[in-house]
Amino acid sequence: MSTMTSCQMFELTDDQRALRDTIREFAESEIAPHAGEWDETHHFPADVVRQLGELGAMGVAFPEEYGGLGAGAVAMAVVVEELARIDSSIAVTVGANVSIAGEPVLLFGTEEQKQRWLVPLARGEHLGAFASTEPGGGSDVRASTTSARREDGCWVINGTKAFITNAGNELSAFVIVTARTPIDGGAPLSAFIVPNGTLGYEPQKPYRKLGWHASDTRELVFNDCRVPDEALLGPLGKGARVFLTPLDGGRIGVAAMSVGLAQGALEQATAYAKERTAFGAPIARQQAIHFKLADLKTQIEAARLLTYRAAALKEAGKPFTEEAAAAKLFASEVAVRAAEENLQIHGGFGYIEESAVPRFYRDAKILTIGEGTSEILRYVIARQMGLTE
Amino acid sequence: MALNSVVLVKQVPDMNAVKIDRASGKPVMGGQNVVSSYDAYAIEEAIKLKEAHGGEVTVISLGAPGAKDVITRALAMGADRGVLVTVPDPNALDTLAVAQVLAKQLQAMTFDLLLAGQGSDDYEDNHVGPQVAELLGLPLVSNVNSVEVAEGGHHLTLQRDTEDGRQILEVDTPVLLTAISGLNEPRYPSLKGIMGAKKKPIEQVAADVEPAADRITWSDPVAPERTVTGTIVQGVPAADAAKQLVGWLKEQKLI
Ligand SMILES: Cc1cc2nc3c(=O)[nH]c(=O)nc-3n(C[C@H](O)[C@H](O)[C@H](O)COP(=O)(O)OP(=O)(O)OC[C@H]3O[C@@H](n4cnc5c(N)ncnc54)[C@H](O)[C@@H]3O)c2cc1C
Repeated sequence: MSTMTSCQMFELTDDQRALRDTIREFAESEIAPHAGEWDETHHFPADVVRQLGELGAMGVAFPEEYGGLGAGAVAMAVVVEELARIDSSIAVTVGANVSIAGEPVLLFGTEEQKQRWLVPLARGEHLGAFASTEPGGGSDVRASTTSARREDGCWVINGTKAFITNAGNELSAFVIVTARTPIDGGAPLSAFIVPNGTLGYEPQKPYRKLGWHASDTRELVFNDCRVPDEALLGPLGKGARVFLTPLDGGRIGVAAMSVGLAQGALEQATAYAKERTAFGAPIARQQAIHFKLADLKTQIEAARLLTYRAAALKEAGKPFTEEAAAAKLFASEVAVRAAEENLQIHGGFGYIEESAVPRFYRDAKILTIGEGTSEILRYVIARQMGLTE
Repeated sequence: MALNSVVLVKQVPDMNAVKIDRASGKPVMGGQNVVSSYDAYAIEEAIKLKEAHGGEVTVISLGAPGAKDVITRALAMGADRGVLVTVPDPNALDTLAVAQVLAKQLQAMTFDLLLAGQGSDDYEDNHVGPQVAELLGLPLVSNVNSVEVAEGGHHLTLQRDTEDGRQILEVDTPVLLTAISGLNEPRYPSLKGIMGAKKKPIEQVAADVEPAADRITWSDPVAPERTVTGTIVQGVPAADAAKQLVGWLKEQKLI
């Protein structure tokens, strides 16, 4: 794990830069030429996800003893950022797999669970999912109604989860699901690892989404789904913690996706503004246009620094809840703005599905919603500030 | 049976990033230094042979002091060690001088197989591989697109495409072969490979031959002027436009 001095926090190390360059090259040559088609046909590109796994992208931040590279959270953020610069669907596939499926197993799993689920995940051999959100509510984690009851030495899970990433494609191997478990007269949440293919676990058809067309998002139905005791992840009754603790890291991932998307949008807008002429000059010469680009450049750099800083704190083992929330809040809103200004600068061409511009516009909006809405993040920050319970 | 390979690699500017300055017509290099594309096939082949038959892969590059990027890339892909032979200004050398410097270095090394790209992305002279073979007295097989190793021996079956067909050659090592596209699909270095690369040795040695004075003089490259000629028929109904076009084609005696 790389250690970071206060000075290096503003500059990537040689290793981090080398990882970034490799992922950039991969994204530009293996993803960019097909991203438009996958978007149009809502195709989940399992082959490319597998290739990324072979490169080692899923294991960047996991320890070497569990199949990872041990390169740290900053390197992981850089990888996700580079993917999102080209294709947000691929970025979320990697980001969600690593931070909301792999990380809970690392933090709360038994040695056996880590060997069975984390090692192949880190090596890119399979994907995992985490199912907390339900049709009846996402932000309010504790309001979930999915239940797990004891029967014949097994847990029997019943309920429905909504908007779950990576659960039903050919690489999906397991889902971590939160469910109410009756203990001591109460019904706190517990988390269970359910392998794909378990009787009674039924991933539904993929949703038709506004964006992220090439990512895999489904409703999951649990219908008398039986799992053994070994399926319990973390302590009984502590499922909310199993979900919420890794979410801080997940937010760094979404912040990195936001920075990458915004960077990609800025590059598209800058290139177009230099090339497109109106009234006898490139539109970039117009103050109305180049001020927009200068503002975006500044905001993206600020978002990137917030993101790397949150990641550096995580890597150093320091508290980072507030920093991750702030990075995700700010970066996702910058991403939405960058995607919108990119489209505006492209004029009518920006509205036509022939370039990446509309795709970036559609892909941006989820960033202010997933893994904590902007509203919830403001609440998290306010609570860290001691302003509310 | 292990097969030890040495691969000649050249660091070149990323040709995809070269822009032509509109005012002067001169090329402006941008972006990073990359492995010359044919060399990537040579590196990949050496690594594949190592994986299949054992042995060591050494990459050797002639470049300016510190120009280690492409060696590091080859090490990240799976090569074992690198040698950077430095000259103050590599672009001041002609191809024969480059071959002489490399041959001198290679004389002190042992290997079964010497691989090079067919040519380099920047100058595309296609000289260095053949010249090195000649200077070392090695057989040369150029433009190779398939390599097979006979079982248990240092005997290779090589394939090359010619203008009117395909040649299949059998050679004993040591041999120098130059690689072209179609030989293989160069891998991306894995992220683990990248992190491991810096632990692998890169030896930097100053060239110990005096490069000969210029045998070739270069004039500054300038992009040819683009003259756009063409006639566009616009703003008239289709039938009239067609008539105009047919009239014009007849005028030019094209139909
Ligand atoms: C493409 C996609 C992929 C996803 N992947 C996953 C996944 O893999 N796993 C998973 O578990 N979930 C996943 N989600 C779900 C996502 O995390 C939730 O949609 C998100 O947490 C919001 O929950 P909700 O949709 O129920 O909205 P709600 O919680 O119902 O919120 C609705 C609105 O009310 C606001 N609001 C709610 N509570 C408050 C409050 N206290 N104060 C102020 N405002 C409030 C919200 O900010 C929002 O604007 C995914 C969603 C999408 C669209």
